[in-house]
Amino acid sequence: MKLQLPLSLARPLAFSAVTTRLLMGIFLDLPWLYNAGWIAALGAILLCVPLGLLADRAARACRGGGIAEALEKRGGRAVARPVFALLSLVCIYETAVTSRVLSNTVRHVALAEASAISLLLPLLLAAMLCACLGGQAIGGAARIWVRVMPVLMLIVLLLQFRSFRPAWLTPLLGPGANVLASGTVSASGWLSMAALPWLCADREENGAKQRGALSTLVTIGIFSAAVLALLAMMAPPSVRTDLTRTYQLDKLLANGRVTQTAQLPLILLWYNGLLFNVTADLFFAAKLLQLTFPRLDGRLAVLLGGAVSGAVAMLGWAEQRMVVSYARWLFAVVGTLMLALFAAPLRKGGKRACVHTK
Amino acid sequence: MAEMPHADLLRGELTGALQKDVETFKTIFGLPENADIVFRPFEAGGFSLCAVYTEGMAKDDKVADFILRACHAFDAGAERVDADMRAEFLLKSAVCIPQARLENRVQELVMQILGGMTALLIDGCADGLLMETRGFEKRNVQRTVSESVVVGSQEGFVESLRTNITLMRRYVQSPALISEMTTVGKSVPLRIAILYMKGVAREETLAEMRKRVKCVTAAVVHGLGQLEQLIEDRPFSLTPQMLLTERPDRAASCVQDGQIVILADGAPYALIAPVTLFHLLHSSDDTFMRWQYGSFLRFIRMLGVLFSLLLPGAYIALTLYHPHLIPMALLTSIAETRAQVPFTALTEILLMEFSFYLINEASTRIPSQMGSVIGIVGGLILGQAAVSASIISPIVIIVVALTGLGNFVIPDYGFTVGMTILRIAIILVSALLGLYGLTLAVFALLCHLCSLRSLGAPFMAPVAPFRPHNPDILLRLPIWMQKRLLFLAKKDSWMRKETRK
Repeated sequence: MKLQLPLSLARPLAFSAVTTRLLMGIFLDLPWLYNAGWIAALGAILLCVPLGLLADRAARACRGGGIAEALEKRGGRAVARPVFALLSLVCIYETAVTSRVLSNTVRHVALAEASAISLLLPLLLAAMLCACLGGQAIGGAARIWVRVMPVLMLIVLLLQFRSFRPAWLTPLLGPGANVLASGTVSASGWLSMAALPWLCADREENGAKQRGALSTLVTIGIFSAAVLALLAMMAPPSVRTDLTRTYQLDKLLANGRVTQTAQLPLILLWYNGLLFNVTADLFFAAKLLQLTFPRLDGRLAVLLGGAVSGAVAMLGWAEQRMVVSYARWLFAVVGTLMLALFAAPLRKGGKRACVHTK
Repeated sequence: MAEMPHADLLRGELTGALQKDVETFKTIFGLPENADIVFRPFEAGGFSLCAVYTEGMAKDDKVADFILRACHAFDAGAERVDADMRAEFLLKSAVCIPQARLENRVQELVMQILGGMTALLIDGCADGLLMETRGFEKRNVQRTVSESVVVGSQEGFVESLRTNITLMRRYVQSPALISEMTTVGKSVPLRIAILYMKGVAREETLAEMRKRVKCVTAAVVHGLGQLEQLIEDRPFSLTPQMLLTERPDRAASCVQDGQIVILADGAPYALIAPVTLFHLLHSSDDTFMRWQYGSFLRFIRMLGVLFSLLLPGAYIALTLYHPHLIPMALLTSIAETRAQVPFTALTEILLMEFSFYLINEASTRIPSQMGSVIGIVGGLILGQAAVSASIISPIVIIVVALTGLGNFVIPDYGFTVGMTILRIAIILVSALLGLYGLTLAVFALLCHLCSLRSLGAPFMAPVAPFRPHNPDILLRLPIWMQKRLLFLAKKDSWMRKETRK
């Protein structure tokens, strides 16, 4: 079975998955940005612009079939396959990180006595099942989620409306320019993952016209920055230095200063966002694995990706400290790898570079 | 594998020796045990003939007036006609039946005789005459039973294929409406008609439908319900991927939108494909009413579907795992009413759901004169008594009642049953993992729905994936804004309404 993602569904999938990842990364894993996380999200957009431009150019140059296959044909197997393999590993790790956060959230919210495996297993099984259904399935679901999400957001906003305090956004640079710059680099690593759908997508013959990678990256960045700013206005920043994910999760889901019973839409938003993130990352991991080993069956690739992610999550290699260290390098790694791939058509002559795969 | 009796005779052709041909038919029809096949030998024009028809299926008057009497009355000059041209001569000069043709294949003659036509076997001629004399008893066109509407046509399909095609022709008076006749079922063929609008239905969809129908290898196909199972894209899915309707106006509307309709003998409904999830939630009323009313009713229906699918699961998840998300006043009320109930919330819900299905199933099967009994049993015994006896808490009755009402607003019966099964699965997952389980289940369901296809078309389109479409899918926009055909129709169709720029 070949895993496929229609290009028209790349945007909603990227939006629903990466927005949550960016929020999760900045709010949970980088709490020392205090209430200036939204500036880090905006800064990440600037760093990711070249990546978006290249992804768009590669997608435009390819006139039919898989974009990655066309890039491989043009750039050469020796360059493309190792890039696919490394990106697949990044996706597997990202799956593990998000799975861990989701299982921690569930434990924090309700199932305090449940074991990690009993929470991770259903999640990974559901994610594997959905990834096996293909990009059409998760991309389609993401497109519907993108339309439901604003309704839930609106409810949260209306509930919180009176308790937002713009004053809590100050000091504007939060912990200072240096820490903020470091946070921006980490944030751009997470944001750069939004270019992956354009690498893994297949151009449809009759697909509807869609906006490209650059506009999606910018939208995700702006949307995340807005949400982070709203979160910052919901509760005052804590300047403790030992801020853990659990502490931040509690702050996120405590619903600011509004009654706890109004927490439901926020929980639904958080759960669903993380679910899309886990499933999308797993799908991309499997797809990239299949691009590395073209004879590998899609279902087997998903199973492999899911099993490795589960193991990583269970072994504690996806905890905050490790994720923060890895996030510093993520943009450099993903950026370099994608640059190597997306730049291939440019090196070989621009628009006409990608050959037809059919 | 054993062949059906007299398969070798069925594969043959008429010989021209009347006695031998009559014997062949008698053997095939199992005479003398089989009493309702009529063999009527007679002489006319100086040669022997034999009319063969099925009693009850063919109309005796037609056989007597337009075949027997007409043959007796024709010009005696027929004697001069060559023996092998007698059938053609009779067709042109004697029989007074508008629909008649020459036929020499035994199997075709047998099938048509069983269908109500009359075969005329002629001595000395290797061709027989096949004449339209169908006149069997059938139900008149009546009001629909399961798809009642307030506004719009009240006619429903009946069990006769011919009548159903006529109904379709009456609603779609266009020469572009094509009805292709074919059969399914290898051993006992079932006559079906594939209807579509030429130049509106997509060629590739049509080819796929023909291919699937042709590939049916079942010995017997009992109606359209079975045919649907044999040709649908994902038989293991709980969601129907084709639409069954008993309303000719709805089938006609679908045909004009580029969809394909299948009618079958003995089936008082039509099978429509390709469809999307949204078609399963549409009702004929929506189209006939003003756009505001139609949109509102669709919105209510969608809310009903969400209630039906999620309400019991959400109740279980919230009461068992997230009581802090329930407002204090409501939580206290729930706790008070549940204080005397000896069961867990899950057991309560499952008990009530099961009782509800029992009432529902019983009310479907019970004779209409006893229908009020169900109301009494359901309302008094299962509702009031269960609460009085502290077996069920009142809040659970409200939850199950709302769920049931939500289920009944779904116009497609098959989809209703599918939703019920999905609801039970969601209840169980919610009982196990709370809101986390509920979210996981809904997410998996959403992905599954988005992966489905109906005759190759995405089941969740035009929403996911997006397709440019007529604004008559989720809600209905004003009629003057509905300028497109359904996205399932052929591109650049002659029926396309929008003005091209």
